[in-house]
Amino acid sequence: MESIIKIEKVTKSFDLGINKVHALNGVDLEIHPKDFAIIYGPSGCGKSTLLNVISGLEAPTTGKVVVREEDLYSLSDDQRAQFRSEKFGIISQSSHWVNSLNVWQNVAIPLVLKGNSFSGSKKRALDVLSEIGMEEFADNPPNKLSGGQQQRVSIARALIRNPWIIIADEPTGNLDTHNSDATMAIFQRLNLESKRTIIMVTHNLVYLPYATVKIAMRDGVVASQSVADIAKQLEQEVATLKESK
Amino acid sequence: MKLIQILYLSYRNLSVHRSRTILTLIGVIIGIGAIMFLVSLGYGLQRLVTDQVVKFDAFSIIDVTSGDSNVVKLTDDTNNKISEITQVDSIGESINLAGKLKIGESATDTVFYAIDNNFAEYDQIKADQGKFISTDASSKDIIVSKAVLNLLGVKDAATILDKDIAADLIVTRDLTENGETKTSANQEFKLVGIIDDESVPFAYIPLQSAKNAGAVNFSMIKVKATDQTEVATIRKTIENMGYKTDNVSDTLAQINQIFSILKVALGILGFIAMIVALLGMFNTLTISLMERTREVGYLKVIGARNRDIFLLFTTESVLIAFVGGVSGVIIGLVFEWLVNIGISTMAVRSGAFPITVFYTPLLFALVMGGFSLLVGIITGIYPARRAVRVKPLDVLRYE
Repeated sequence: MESIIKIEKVTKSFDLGINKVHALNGVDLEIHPKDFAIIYGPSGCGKSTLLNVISGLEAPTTGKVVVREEDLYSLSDDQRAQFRSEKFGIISQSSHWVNSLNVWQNVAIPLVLKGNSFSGSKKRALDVLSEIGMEEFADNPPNKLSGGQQQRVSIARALIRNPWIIIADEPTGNLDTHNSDATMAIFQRLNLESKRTIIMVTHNLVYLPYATVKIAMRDGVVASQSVADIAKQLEQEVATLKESK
Repeated sequence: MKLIQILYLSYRNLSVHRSRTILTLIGVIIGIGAIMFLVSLGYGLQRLVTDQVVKFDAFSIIDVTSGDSNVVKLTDDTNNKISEITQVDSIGESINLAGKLKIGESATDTVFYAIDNNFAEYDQIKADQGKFISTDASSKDIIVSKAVLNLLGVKDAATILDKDIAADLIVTRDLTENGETKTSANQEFKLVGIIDDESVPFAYIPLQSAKNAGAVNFSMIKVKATDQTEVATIRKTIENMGYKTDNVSDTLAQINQIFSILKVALGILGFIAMIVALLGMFNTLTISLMERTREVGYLKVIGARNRDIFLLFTTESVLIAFVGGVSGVIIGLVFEWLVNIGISTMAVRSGAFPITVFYTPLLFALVMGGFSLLVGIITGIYPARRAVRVKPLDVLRYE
């Protein structure tokens, strides 16, 4: 099957004063349609940097990122913003809102950025809110909702332009177990029922079983087979622990 | 993003921080209102002064004198030549004499202006009490300023009206045919009117009286043009004949120059108020940006272009400036109107004519509206450019 995202020899270095930090050291990766890819690894391994490079937010130092046959970093900032808005639904650890707008208006923003009106986008916003069970909060101010509710509204906002690729960076990072499970259930449904490609970064190995593609990161590279095996072992241990609970 | 949606978002953002927005608006209203109020005061005073200077038909009247020349004189012949200039409608003549006015034992030095009907009409000379002199050839009428009566010891002007008064007229040598001073003593006149001027002793008498006293040259003639646009041509023709000419436009140009400086000075005072308001607006927008850095960053993450962010912030400042500017202009106009009414009421109560101290030309009001918009755009540019520079990743890293 042809890949939807192809990453070739990507490196990323940061200058921190006199020190140079190599966050990515030559990553090659392919993601295919309908994959549920989870990128995991210890802190500082480069997983969030990789996700930012994939979503067009962080230009690599060297290498190439091709999304749906488009070389992402050959585009200008504005073109990339538009591309991101069309192809990706992006969800971050914390939810960010335009505080002067209510829930449905915030959900509608990606459509408004595209050129639609707020009123013309209302029906679609309510539909996606209904899809994730948040329709009743449509007229509330988003920052008055609980963390779990806010994350679900974030997912609705990511879905409003019907993107085929959902990119999520630690989406359960600020949530309790119950809300984290509910969020993961939504991602799984989107992957299995709506056939959307999911790329998610997490440090929580409990959710690795959701993945169809597991990408272990270590020291800025996709881990070699042996390290991946260790991860698999960790994964099994976690699964056992979960069962014993 | 469409402009109407940007406008809606800007409005929502401003309305969330209502009290901060209102305070900023008040600053702009005071700034624009202050400029309006002060410059309109300049315009109003200028109009008051020019209205006093520019009387009926004043722009089409040219004053002609022989200046300092001992050679060129204004005579019946030269006056006829001037009258024959195509663009000249008519002329008014005057001869200025020195002399004395006498009542019984009292006497006072007086300036006598011997004038004809046209001259009186062009110079808007009127008697405040009694009537104006008849300028017929046989007339022996005289009107005098109140200062004359004061010097003659007359306390009640009414008691002397229509009474005879004696005058010694001195025709200076520049006015006589042979260049010698002539005196006509004890000429009898009938006092028909009084002018309410207590500062200078002067009198108006018929032109013929001066001629009878031996004057052949004229001190000044007033030339009325057929049209205001012909004034320059006539002046040039008369000046080529060796005479000196004056027109109210000369005085008006000087007055306008003085008031232009005054208006700039008043405008600068108002502008200082505007700068304070501008700093307030700048402060509000910058604080708003700092509060919304994460919001701006995330809008970029989900697809907002730099243009959208730039427009969002400049629209907010333009909204404040537009609403503040229009309100400032309206409030300034209302305030000026109220002060005008107050001053006019006081003037009428004191027995004077109603006056308009504040005057705002429509163009100036429109310029102020445009100016406030310009200020809005300029003030918004810096915070908007800062907002454009917000990196979406900085927001995500902040987590």
